[in-house]
Amino acid sequence: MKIRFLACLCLAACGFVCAAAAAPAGLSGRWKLNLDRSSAIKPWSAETVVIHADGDVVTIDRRFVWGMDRRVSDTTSVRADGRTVLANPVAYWIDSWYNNAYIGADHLKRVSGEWLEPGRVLKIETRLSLNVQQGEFPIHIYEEYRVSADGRTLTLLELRSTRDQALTYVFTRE
Amino acid sequence: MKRFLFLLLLSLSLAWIAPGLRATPGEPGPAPATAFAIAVRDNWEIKGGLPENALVLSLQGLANTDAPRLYIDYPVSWHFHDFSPVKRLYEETHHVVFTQLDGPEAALRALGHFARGYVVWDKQVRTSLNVAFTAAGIMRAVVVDDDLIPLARKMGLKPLADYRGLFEGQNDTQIYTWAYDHYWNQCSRDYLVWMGGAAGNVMEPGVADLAIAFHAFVADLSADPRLPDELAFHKRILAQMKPGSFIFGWHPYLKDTEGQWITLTSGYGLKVIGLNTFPNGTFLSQIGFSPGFHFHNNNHVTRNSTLVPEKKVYIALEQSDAMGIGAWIEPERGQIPYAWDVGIDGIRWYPGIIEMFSRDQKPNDYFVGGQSGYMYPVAVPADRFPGLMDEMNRGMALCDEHVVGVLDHTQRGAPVPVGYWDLPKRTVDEFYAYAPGAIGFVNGYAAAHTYDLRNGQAFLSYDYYLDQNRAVDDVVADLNELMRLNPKRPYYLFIHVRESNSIKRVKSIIARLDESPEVVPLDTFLKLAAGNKTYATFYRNEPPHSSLP
Repeated sequence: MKIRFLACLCLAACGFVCAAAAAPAGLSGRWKLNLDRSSAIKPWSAETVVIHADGDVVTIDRRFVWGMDRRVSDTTSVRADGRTVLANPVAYWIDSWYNNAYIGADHLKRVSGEWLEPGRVLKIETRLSLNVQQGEFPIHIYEEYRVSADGRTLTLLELRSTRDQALTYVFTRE
Repeated sequence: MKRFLFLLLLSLSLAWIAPGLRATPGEPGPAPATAFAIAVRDNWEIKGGLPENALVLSLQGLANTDAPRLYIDYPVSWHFHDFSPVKRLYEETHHVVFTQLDGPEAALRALGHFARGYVVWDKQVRTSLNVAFTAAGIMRAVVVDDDLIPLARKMGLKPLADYRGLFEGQNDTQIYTWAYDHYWNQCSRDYLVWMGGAAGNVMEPGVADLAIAFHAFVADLSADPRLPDELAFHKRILAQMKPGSFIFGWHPYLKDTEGQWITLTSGYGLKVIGLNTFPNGTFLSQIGFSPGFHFHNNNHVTRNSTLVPEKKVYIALEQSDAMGIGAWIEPERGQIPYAWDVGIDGIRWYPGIIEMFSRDQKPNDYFVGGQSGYMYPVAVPADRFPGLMDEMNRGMALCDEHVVGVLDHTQRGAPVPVGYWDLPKRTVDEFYAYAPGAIGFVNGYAAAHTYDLRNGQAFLSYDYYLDQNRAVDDVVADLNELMRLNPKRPYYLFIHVRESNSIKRVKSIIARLDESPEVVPLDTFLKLAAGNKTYATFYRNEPPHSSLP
């Protein structure tokens, strides 16, 4: 009886472990940009995003590489409760090579977030000011981070208030 | 009588050996009635075609020191292959009759009398060839490897120096120090030649003829602080050059970066004419425009014009890679206003090329001037700036050019490519101070952010870098976004059209933009921008007393 009980317990434990392994992983993890499937990130030649999500507390580290020896990273902290706005420091507006938009004078972006589907789909809204030819101009950025059903692919959709064309970035889990 | 004969012989001897064969390259004159031409091999490997090619190049330097006598036909794979049709221009419009030489032996038979002897370089030590080029200029010698010695002897030439085994086991600093100790005193202080570019088993010494004609010191020392010995020696050489000197050639790709090198040379107020593959410099620079040809610009405004812009978006397009890589010869050229970089040095160093390209100039083609060559103004010492600007102003007047193009790359090593094309206020001040007659200034390479307006002269930067590989949909979205980010009208949208972007593609992009912007010539664009300043004055922040590397 005892052996039979232990066998059942082991079986149940194995099943639990297997089920946990098969479950799609969430947003947390290290993601590598698929350049071929993404909007251009020139002059960067590679981008890796490391996301850590613990409930509503989310941090997103972007790491860019340019050529052999140029690397830069930035971190965005988000409280994904749908209410809290966090002011994040911004050293550079690194999202554009082609035009001459620089980060605004306050070097800040105000970020709020919300889980549209906990752990899998995160909405982020950002307000910041860009410095362009005519001076400072406020923009709003809407982003959705979506993890695929199998947990292997992360798609980032980005809409800017100043741009009609959405930007799409596709990452693969490392 | 004896004494007379002695003096006669002495003067003839002096005339023969004198390094008084001082170069006239760089002073264009009338074309010769005849000249020789020779094809070099399409192989630049040390154990391949380089020895023969180096011999021909050295002979070209000797023969062309005081007149354009030998033209080299480079293979189609050569970097400056778009220069090759100039030979036809010389034939058709200057009526030069070329005699084709069939290889080094024929070349030595025809022109070997310009050589006093030969210098032997060591194929085991690549750098020895650069030392040989230096020595060849001073000693009036051709350069040969050991395989070509019999040919040189057959042509009656005598050995003047032999580097075989001499530099074995030495690094570049040691080898160039030896060359410095032996030849520097006799080398030019007006010209240097940097034989960089390709490395390893290959050398492409297209500027060797200039080195020999000018008695220039030839080297490829690094500008990278990680090679402190080379850098220190490099600086020692640069510091001895005269103000306004030229460096022909290019940096060694494996030893340093373009940004490091040009920042260093600019720090001594020296200008680089690139690249190491620049061909036929001694020939091109001694033949001016063909009779009756005048270089002129399509000017639409003058320095004192006043224009009142409408409340709309104005676009100006500048193609900096200009005529050399394709857009110039497209059938669409002339359909919209386009500005083309034509630096002031072209008139002096390759007028035939300028003539060849600009003969079919269309009314919508506008030429932009500025200090051409490679020189970063932010790095130029304040005491060298006026001289360079004076040279620029004189050159622009000759070229009928009235807009100053500015490119600075001293911040190239910055980790983030944002803002490093901008200029500090002190540099903008210098341009305003020393180019008061210009219609205006345009700055950048990638998009930049330096803007100003003084005394009716607008100082604008590229708002957009039109990459040839960026999809049309993306470019349209980028440009429309810039128009949203800059809501005041007029908005002056200045676009840098890069590399092989076709005019057809550019037209298709502009046709899809919101607001139907008006494309105007660059001089008009600058005067419109001077008429209503909707842009914010901006300079790059520079810490006080900052020093450049």
